[in-house]
Amino acid sequence: MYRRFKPYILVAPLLVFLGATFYFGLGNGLLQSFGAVPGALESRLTLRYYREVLGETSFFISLLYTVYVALVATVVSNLLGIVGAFAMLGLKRESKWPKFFYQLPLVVPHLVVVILVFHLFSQTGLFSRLAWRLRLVAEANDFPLLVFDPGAVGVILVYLYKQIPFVSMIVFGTLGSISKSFAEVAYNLGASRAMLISQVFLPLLRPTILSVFLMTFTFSFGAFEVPFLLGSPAWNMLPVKAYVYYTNVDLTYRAQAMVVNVMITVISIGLVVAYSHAAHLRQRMGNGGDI
Amino acid sequence: MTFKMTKGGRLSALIFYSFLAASVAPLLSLLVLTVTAAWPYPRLSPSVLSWRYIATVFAPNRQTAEALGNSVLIAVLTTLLTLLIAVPAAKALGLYRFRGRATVKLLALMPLMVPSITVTMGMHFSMIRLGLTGSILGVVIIHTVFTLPYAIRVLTNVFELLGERHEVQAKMLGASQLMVLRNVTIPLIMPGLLSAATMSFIVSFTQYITTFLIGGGRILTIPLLFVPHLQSGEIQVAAVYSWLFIMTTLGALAITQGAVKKFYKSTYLLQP
Amino acid sequence: MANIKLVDVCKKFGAKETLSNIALEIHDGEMLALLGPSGSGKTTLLKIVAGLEQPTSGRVFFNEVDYTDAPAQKRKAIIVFQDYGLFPHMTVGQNVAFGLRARGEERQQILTKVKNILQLVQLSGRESSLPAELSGGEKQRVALARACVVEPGVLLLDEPFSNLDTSLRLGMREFVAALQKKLKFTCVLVTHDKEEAFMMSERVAVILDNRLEQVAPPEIIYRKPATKKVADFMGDANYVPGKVISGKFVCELGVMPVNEPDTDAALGMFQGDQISLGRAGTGFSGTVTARKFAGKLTYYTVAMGPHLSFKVTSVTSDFLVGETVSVAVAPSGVNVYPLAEESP
Repeated sequence: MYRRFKPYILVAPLLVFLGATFYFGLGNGLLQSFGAVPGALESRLTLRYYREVLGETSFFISLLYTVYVALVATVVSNLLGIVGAFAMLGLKRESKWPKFFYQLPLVVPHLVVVILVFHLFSQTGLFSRLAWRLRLVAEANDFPLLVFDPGAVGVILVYLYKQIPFVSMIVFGTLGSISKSFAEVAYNLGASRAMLISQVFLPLLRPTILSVFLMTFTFSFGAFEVPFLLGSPAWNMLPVKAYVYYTNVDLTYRAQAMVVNVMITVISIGLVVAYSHAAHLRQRMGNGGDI
Repeated sequence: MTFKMTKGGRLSALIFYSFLAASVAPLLSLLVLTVTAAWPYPRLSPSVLSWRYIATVFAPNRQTAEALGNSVLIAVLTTLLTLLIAVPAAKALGLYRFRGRATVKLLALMPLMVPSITVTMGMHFSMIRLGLTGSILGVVIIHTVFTLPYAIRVLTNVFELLGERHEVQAKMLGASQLMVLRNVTIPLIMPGLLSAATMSFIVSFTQYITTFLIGGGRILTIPLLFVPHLQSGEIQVAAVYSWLFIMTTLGALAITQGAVKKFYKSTYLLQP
Repeated sequence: MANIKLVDVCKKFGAKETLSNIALEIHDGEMLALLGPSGSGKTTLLKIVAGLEQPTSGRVFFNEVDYTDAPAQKRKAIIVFQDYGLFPHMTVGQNVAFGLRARGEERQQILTKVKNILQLVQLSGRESSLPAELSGGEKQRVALARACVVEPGVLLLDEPFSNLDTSLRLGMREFVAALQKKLKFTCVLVTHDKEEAFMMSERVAVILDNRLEQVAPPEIIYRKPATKKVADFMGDANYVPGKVISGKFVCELGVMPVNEPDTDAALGMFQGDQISLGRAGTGFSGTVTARKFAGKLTYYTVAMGPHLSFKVTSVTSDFLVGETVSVAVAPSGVNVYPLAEESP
C-alpha cells in the first residue's frame, strides 16, 4: 500500500508548499487583475481593468519595447555564449583558474552589474573618459547616452554580462560530455573543424540551446530590477510598468498592475508551451533529411 | 577537455581570454571605486583615494552587520528549507514513473518562468494578513519559492542518473531506512546536493524586490542596503557593499566545497 | 591498401607511460590483431596510427612516407570505435555519407556509393533509419560501412565485437574477414580475446605492460611465446626449472632438444595440453591431485614429487583424483626462458 503511494507522498511537501505560496499568489494575482483589490470599485469580478490596460496604446508600446530589449539581449548573449563555449572547448591546457573566473559573473548579482555598467558606460564613465583621451569626444555630454536611454543599451549590457557566461557554462556542459568521441570519429573520416561544428556539434546541441534561449528570454522579459534602475524614465518596460501601477497611492491601480503581471506571465508561459510542443513534434517526425 | 586536433587553439584562447577580461576587469575597477574619494572627469584613475567609504560601511553604528547577518541567515534557512522539500520530491520524480509525473515536474519549474514580482505582488496581501510580512520566516518562504525550481532540476537529474539499485542493494543487506539514507543516498547525491545548495544560497542572497516587498522594510539585507546608495549616486558606498557581497558569496562557496572535500575524505570508503 | 611502419613509438600521458618503444610493421592487406589485456595501451596505439594522438616520440610511416605529424583528416587509416560512434542525430544514410561529404564528393556519386556499401553490409534500404532504431549488430555494420565507403587503406577496429552477444560475434567476425577480402584494406584489430585474435588474424602482436612483446602468426604466439610474460598471458603455462646442456633442456620431466644457449638457470614452460597422461607404468609418473570436468576438456592437476605440480588440459576424462598416472611431454612442446626473468 505504502509502495504505491510512495511517490505521491514524496512530492506532497513540494506541491503543498508551492500550492500555498506560488500558485496561491498566482491565483490571487489573477483575482486582483479581475478587480478583487482592497478598495475595489465593484463588488464582482470584472474585465474592466483588462479593458483599461489593454486599451491603452502605451501598453502595447511597452510590450514591444520589452520584447525588443529581451530579444536583443537574449540573441546576442546566446550567440556569444555559444562562441564562448566552443572557445573553452578549444583551449589547449586544462585550465582550472581561468574557467573559475569565467564563471564569476554568475555569482555577481544583477544589482552589482548595474553599478558596473553605470561606472563604465555612463556619460562620465570610464569608456567616456577613454574616448575623451582618444579625442573621440570633446566633453562628457558628447559621449552617447548608454544608460537611462531609450535604446536600453545599459539594460542590455547588464543582461549580456550575466547571460553570456551562463549560456557558455550550460552549453559547455553538454558539449563536454559529447564532444571528444564524436570529434575523433568526424576528424578521422576527414571532416574539417567547421564541418564538425556545423554538422555534428550544433545539431546535437539544439535542444540545449533552445532551452537556454527560452530561459534567458523569459528572464530578460520579466525581470524588474535592472530596467527599474537603468531604464529610460520615458520608456517603461512591462515589469516596471507593473511596479509603477502597484505603488500608486490609489489602490485601484493595483488591479491594473496585476493585469500587466498576468500578461507577462501568459506570454512567458505561452513561449514555454510553444517550445515544448515544437520539441515534441520534432521528436515524432524524426530527423528526416537527405544526404 | 584537453582535446585539440587542429590549429584552432590560438583563436580559442583569444576569444576565451577576451571574454574573461571583459568579465573580470569591471570588477577590478569596482574595487578601485571602493577607495575613491574623488575621480573627476576625464581622469582614467582616481585623483584622491580614501578609506572612508569602507570605514562607513563597516562602522559599528551602520546596519552592515545586521544586514549581513540577516542575508546569511535567510540564505541558509532558505537553502535548508529548499533541500528539505526538494530532495524527496526529486527522488520521486527521478526514480519512479508515476502518473502525473510530467505535470508535477512542470508545476515545480513554473516559478522559473513567471517573473518574481508577479508572484510576490500576488502573495503580498495574503502574507500581510497572515502576519508573515516583516518577518524572517516570511522572507525565507518567498525566497524558497524561487530556489525550489533550481534545486528540483539538479536533484531530479542526479536521481535519474543514479537509479535505485544502490539503495535496494543496501536494504537487501539489511540496512535500516536511516542507515540507507545516511550511508548510501546522501553520499551518492552529494555533488547534486551541493550544486542545489549553492544555487539556493546564491539566489536567496541576491534577492531584492522580494525581500523588499515581503520584508516590509523591516528586514534588512545587503541588497536592500545598497540599492538606495545606488539610486542616490553614492557609488563608492554601493561599490563597497558590492564587493562585500561578492566576497561573502565566494566565501560561502569555498566553505561548502571544502566541507564536501572533508566529507569525502572521512568517508573515503564510500567514494565511487 | 597500405603498409604501416611504427618506429620506436612511445606515448606518455603526463608521467604515465602508456607505450614504450613500439616497433611494428604491418604489411599491405594484412589482418593483424593487437592482443593484450585491458589498459595495455592497445587503443592508444590504434589512435596514434589513426592520427588522433601524437606519439611522445617515434615516427609513423604509411607506405614509407612519414605521416607522424599529419592530422587525422589526411590519413587513410579509419578507426571504428567500440561504441561505434554513430551520430545520433543523423540517419544511417547521412552517417555513412559523412566522410564522403567531408571529401567534397558530388551528391549523385555519394548517393550511389552509400547505396552500394549498404548493400555490401546487408543493410540495403535502411538509409533513413536512425541509429536509435538499430540493433547492436546493425549499428556495427553501419559503422563499418561508414569507414569503408571512403576506401581506407587501413581499417582500425577497436574491440569491435565486445559489445555484441556471443551468438552474433562469430557471424560478425566472419563478416569482417569477408569484407576485408573483398575491399582489400589492411586491417588492425584490437582485442583482449585470445581466441578472437587467433581466429581472425594472420599475425598477432602481443602488447603487455605497454611493450610489444611478440609479433607472429597465431600458432607461433601460442606454441612458442617469446617471453615468460607472453606465456603467462596465454594462460595454461607450467614451469619446470632445469638446465640447458649442449642444446638439450634437462629437467624433471625429461630431456628435450632446444635451440638455446647453454645455461644453468633455465625455466622450461610446458603448456597444459603439451603434457599427456597415461595409465601408470611407462616413463615418469605422478599423482592426480585435482580434476575438473568441463565438457570438451578436463583439467587435471598432477603432482610429481613434493616440489613439482602442474596443470594438464586433456581431452580424456578417465583419470581420477589420487590415481597414479604416467606423464609424458612432447619433445617439441617446451619453451625455455632464462630463470632470471622472474617478474615481480
